[in-house]
Amino acid sequence: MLFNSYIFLLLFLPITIIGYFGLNHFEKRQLAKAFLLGMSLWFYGYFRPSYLIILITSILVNYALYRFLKLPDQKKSLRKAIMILGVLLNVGTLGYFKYLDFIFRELNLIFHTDIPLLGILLPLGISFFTFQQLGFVIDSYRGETGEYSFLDYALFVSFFPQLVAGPIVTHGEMIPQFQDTSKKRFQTENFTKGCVYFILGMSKKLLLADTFGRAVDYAWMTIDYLAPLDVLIASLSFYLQIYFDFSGYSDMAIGLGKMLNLELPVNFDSPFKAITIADYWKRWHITLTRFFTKYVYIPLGGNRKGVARTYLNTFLVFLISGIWHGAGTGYIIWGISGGIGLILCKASAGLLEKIKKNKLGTVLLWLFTTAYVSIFFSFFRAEDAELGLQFFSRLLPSVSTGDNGIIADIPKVMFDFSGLGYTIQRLQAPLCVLFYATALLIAVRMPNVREIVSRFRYTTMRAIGLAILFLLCFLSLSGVATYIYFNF
Amino acid sequence: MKALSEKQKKQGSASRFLAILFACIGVVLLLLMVLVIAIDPFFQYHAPLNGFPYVIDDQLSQNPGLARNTTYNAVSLGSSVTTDYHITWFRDLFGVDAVKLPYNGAYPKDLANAMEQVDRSKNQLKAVFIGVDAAAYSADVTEIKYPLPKYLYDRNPFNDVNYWFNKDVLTKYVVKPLAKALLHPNAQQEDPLDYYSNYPNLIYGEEHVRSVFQLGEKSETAVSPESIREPLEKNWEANIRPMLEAHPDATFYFYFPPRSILYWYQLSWQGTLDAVLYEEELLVEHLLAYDNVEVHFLQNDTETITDLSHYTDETHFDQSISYKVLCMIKDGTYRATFENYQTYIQELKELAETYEP
Repeated sequence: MLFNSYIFLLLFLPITIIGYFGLNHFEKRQLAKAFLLGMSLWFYGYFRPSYLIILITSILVNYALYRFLKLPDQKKSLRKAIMILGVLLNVGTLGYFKYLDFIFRELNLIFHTDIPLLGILLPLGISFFTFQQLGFVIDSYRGETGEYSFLDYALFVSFFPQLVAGPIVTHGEMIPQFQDTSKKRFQTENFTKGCVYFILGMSKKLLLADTFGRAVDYAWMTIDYLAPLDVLIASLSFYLQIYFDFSGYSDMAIGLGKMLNLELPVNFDSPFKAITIADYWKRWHITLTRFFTKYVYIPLGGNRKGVARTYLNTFLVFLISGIWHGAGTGYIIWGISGGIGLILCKASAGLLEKIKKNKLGTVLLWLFTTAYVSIFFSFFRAEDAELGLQFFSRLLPSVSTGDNGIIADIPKVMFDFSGLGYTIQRLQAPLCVLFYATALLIAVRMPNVREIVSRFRYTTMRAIGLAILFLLCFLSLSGVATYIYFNF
Repeated sequence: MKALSEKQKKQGSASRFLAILFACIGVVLLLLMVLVIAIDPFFQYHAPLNGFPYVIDDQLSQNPGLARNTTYNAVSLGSSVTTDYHITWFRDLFGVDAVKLPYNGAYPKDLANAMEQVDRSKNQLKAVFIGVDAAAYSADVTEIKYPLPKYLYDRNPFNDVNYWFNKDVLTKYVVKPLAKALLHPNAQQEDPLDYYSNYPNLIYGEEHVRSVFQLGEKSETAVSPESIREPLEKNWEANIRPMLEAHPDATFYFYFPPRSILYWYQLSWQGTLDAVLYEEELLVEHLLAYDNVEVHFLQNDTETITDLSHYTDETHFDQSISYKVLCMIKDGTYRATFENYQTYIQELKELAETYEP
């Protein structure tokens, strides 16, 4: 089920809120938790019921490992073996569903073999719930987990706001909240803040990201016609798209948690404001960075084993991050680029500090960072490195056709005013320019949703403004599919 | 105590804020819902309002409502070549009030889906006109050309939210025509049922047809006619026979529209001519067994199919030919019987195979 769907907004969410607080009102604490778990499973199973088998099996296996690790007087070697088994099972599950066909495909390409592909469907959110449980098993081995009931654990993994796309939560920040009896009563202010979070997040996703998405899709569909300027615009557009999309989704998730009095961790902190690549990585997908730092970077030695090893560890973390994001060479390029950017930042930290003292220097650094991130995100969009290179080859004068490219089509693609008359259609181009300017202003200069909510004032005008945003989003959930009738 | 009252104050303003937020959302959604239901641009709840300038340009979305909520006693079904009839022609030639429910590139399942919507109305059918694309009758029994917006076809009232709060419905089909109606209250309105009477921007003529015609690759091996028997039989059982038997009092006019000679030549070139003609043969054998069915081989009207001046491509013809189609059905010019249908097929085969483009 998507957050931005009628069934979620009109049925699932009201039932969840009323049911959860209703049961808690009658002191049915365990039943309320079970209800929330049941609703979360419905939320997940709605995508494809068979996915539930994978999720539930994964929860059962990891909880069993946890119970085993909790047994007193276990031999250290046995505990370590159990932990390794847990890591292998989780990584193996992810590997099977996400990478096996990719590996076969690449092997076939490289060695001209004919290994049949398995056509494995990737269960939604598997990367997220697998990582959460991987961290949980390692923490259990380290003795960092408390006494958790199965219900608490299952809810921690499957809690619907964060199940499909994060934020990647830890048992330490979620399970104590599930157990906290002071959070069981409906709290108007939390619910209101949750609504603000959710509506602003949904607006970022549906009104901004999806509009950029149309331009990006169009550019990637017409690669062979792109002029150099189109490539730059498409790159920036995708960075804007993925930022508003992913951070919007995180805001919605955080908002949903807040409605239920549960705090989810911050996942984005205005990455467009980053001056350097290092700054950028502190602001982008924060919970993933936190996960990799704790479970990969630090175990590899972090920065404790000298400069060269620090750089190698950084590189490895980003390589793994690239692989984790998807089965495609484009993701690997994206990960490596991110890592190299960060290493260069670390290596030139002194110089960067000097440049930052100058206002013009700061602006130039920001421009460089934004351009760098936009470029490596284009490989993310391409998924395949070769396609990414084909995309950027359009920057070369020898490849580019030298004509105007697709820039004139972008406004029409982003704002479909067909059938609304010539006068309105003439507004497409200025509206498009205004849209880009506003989006950049929101991303670069304005406070982010967390900052807005933290200092939110409950005024009538804001309520009306928020209602308008919600209505615009709500009305964009449904459209009329058009096909090319006149071409028969 | 002071802190508590601050908290209470904040909660109070949050409650008020929430009340305003939800009230605004609720009122606007209610108004939009009422507006869409009142105008009902997809005719889900009622027949077209008299004088309202409906925009009718979406078969998939508007056909089911037209089928369920308008009054008629005849139906015209088929693919794109059946779209540009004037409904007055059916009245003039056959004395029936028809509704047109074309689906471009229609497969048999598309026809069955349309008839399912017709059957949900209270209309008693006298006639059903079906333009046959024989090549489509060996498709999978569940295959449809385009995905249907199910919320407009099913009986589930809850998924109508997709209709009430649909941005395209609101902008293109409600607000724009509503503005037009308010700005030009006395403008002459076309009959909504007469939609698609003209395809705009199409170029007709031999020169144009030849410029867009692509023969494709010549096939060295012909498609085996026998290979289409099974899928055709399945389509017959699942999608065609049930509609004939559900309407014993209606006359079914199945007709093969006059696609141009280039179309038949192309089939011959690509090695599918024998299979398609065999498909026609099998279908006709089934159809002629019913007393309430007429079959018309309009594709054998050599004068029409060899004169490319009325075509826009190898398949689609202009409105003058559409009118001629109905006239030929009315006159029975190429009506098939058990005695002559194989002759018709043989003549067409020879024409296609001997044609020199």
